[in-house]
Amino acid sequence: MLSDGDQKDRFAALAKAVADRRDQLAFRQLFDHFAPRLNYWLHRRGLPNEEAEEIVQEVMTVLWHRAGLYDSSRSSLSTWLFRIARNRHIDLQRRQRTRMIDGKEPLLQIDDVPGMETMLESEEREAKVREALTRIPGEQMELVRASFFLGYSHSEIAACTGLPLGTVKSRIRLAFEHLRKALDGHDRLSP
Amino acid sequence: MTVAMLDALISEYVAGDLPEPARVLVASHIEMKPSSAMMARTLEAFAGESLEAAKTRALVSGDRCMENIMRSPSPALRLVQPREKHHVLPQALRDHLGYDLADVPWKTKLPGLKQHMIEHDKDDGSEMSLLWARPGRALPNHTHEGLELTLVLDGDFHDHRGTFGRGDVSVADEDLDHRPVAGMTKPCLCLSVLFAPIVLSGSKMGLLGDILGL
Ligand SMILES: [Zn+2]
Ligand SMILES: [Zn+2]
Repeated sequence: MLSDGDQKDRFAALAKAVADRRDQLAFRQLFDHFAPRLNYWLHRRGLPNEEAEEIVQEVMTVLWHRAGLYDSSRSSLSTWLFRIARNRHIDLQRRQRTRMIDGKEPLLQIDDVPGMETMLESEEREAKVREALTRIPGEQMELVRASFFLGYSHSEIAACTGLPLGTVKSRIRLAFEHLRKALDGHDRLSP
Repeated sequence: MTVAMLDALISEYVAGDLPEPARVLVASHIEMKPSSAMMARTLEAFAGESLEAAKTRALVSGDRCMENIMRSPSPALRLVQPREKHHVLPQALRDHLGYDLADVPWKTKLPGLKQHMIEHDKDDGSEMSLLWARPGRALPNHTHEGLELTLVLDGDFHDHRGTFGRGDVSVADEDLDHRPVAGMTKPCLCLSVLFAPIVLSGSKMGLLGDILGL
């Protein structure tokens, strides 16, 4: 069983093999790990199978052709893939809402958090982010995960966990407060 | 309290769950506030970790998907542009508008108060607009039909809750009755996003309402 850090390094090395040599076996391993997980996340977003798999394919297509754009000092591969999937999902909703019929595909944006590029060195920032995440009590982060990543409503979480609704809300609020405190000091460090 | 609501919005932003006007407002806020950018970045990293460890759902067409990828052309991408710092309007907002501050087609609503309605969605009842108030201009006392987000882009305003400066977001709802007044030193420029009450019954906004404790 690989530790989290080893796992991240392995994914980064596989992505590098795809970027440098278009290594199909390396890509296959990344596909086998991430495609079913992206599919699960998109399913949780409420997407029907066909649309979810279309987005999974788009995300993995970006990885296959543009793995060279991934920078392991800026984020883990899973965060990079999450961001692409999230942006693709937003594009899909936009297309459906505006019922765009000109058939023009919007360009996929692989963007960092806005304004992020001016802040701190990426290694320093990543270290700060990871450290902050380890400081939040697990029971609070599990509720944040259920709500924000898996998209369950607070009432659904209360029903599943047996916690009172007020406790669910306050634990999630506390998790955000703890994160803010753990990250504190960045306003002073940035230009 | 306001920070908790703001962080709930930032988490919805990172998950890609906000309707377009609110998404643009939160992206603009993040551009102006490094502490919120770090918060968003941290939640993104958390989403990445969650994805890495997530449950799996097998693809119905996994093999075909692999074949399609191997045969696919390289996708067209829009890469991050270095952001220009001298603009009053954040890039996320300029991207959405398609023009800069000098080209905003203002309409005078009251002496010393201008508005530009960016969009008014008849389907979900949401509104997105720019507001400009001359120094010291008070807005009439008002209540809110639904959630109102106000991002200060320049200058500042205050009401009984305190002062909101550049980059700050005011979150107001049905329970807030206020009389915002622009600061005295310079005009106050704001981006306002309104959610009509009918929207709050929908699934997306129900979730947002739930998070914000509405
Ligand atoms: Zn605590
Ligand atoms: Zn108001």
